[in-house]
Amino acid sequence: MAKVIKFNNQTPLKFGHHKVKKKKIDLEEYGQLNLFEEGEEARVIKLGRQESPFEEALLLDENENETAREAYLKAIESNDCLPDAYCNLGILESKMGDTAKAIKYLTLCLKEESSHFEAHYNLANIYFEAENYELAKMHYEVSIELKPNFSFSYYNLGLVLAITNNTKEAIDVLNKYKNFANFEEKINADELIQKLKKSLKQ
Amino acid sequence: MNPLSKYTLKGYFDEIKEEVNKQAGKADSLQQEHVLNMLAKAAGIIEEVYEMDAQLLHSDSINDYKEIVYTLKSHGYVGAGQTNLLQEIKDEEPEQLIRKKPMQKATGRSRTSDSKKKRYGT
Repeated sequence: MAKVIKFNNQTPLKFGHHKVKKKKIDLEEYGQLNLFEEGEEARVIKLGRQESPFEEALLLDENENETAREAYLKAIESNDCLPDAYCNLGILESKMGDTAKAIKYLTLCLKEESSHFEAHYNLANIYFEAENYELAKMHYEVSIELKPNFSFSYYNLGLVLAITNNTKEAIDVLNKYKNFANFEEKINADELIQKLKKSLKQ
Repeated sequence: MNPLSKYTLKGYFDEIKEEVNKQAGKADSLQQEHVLNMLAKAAGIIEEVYEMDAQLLHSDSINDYKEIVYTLKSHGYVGAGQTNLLQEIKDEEPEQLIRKKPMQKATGRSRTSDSKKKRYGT
């Protein structure tokens, strides 16, 4: 008579093929000293990558650590990423409310690298805040020349032009901004453009 | 709040605005009164929506409200308008123009050749 064999009817955890694992043979069971038993897997232990003074400062800056300022000065002292260190130091000084120092550092950055995009853009922002719209406009225009696909330069330049009553130019620049902006930013830009258009009618 | 509601509502107000503009072209005094009544109703709806959920109002509708209130007042309609809403318009106008995009940090692409030597030991 046929014998019914019950299969283990366990539902597999996942679909698809299952890899067959090689069965481990315990050599010592056969009276043989196992000389090939694997020990713990070798691991590469990172001893901590040495960061450059600028990278260290940037990391502190990103974490809003108060010592970032000193760290950037250290980077400058050791001639590491000089233009970038000056640039970021300028941002920190501006945040602290020291516009004069912020302009000084950003200018030093441009002395090191005259086509430093971030320095031009940040200088423009500082002049914007200081209501020096002529200089702000000029630096935004340079930053657009250096990096034409950076949307923020267009937006801020649009604002400067609107404030200085160059409404038509402002609308043109804001329309350019929309080419690089995301959906939400486009809606905001449209609102602003509509307001400017209304002001033109008045 | 459903963000779409804001735009649907804006579309509805835009339709009213179009109708008002159409009617306003007709010089008939009876028609003019009709237009003004429509405007008063539109203002009432905006006020109601604002009191229910201020977030539902698109900024364009808020600005239209300001114009509606001005028009109604100049035609002798009584009512000061929703004061909170009018204040919001006042507060928002300059703020929107000043809200510029933030500064940009440099991330170290301008490494000097000296520091490269130091870091990589070449």
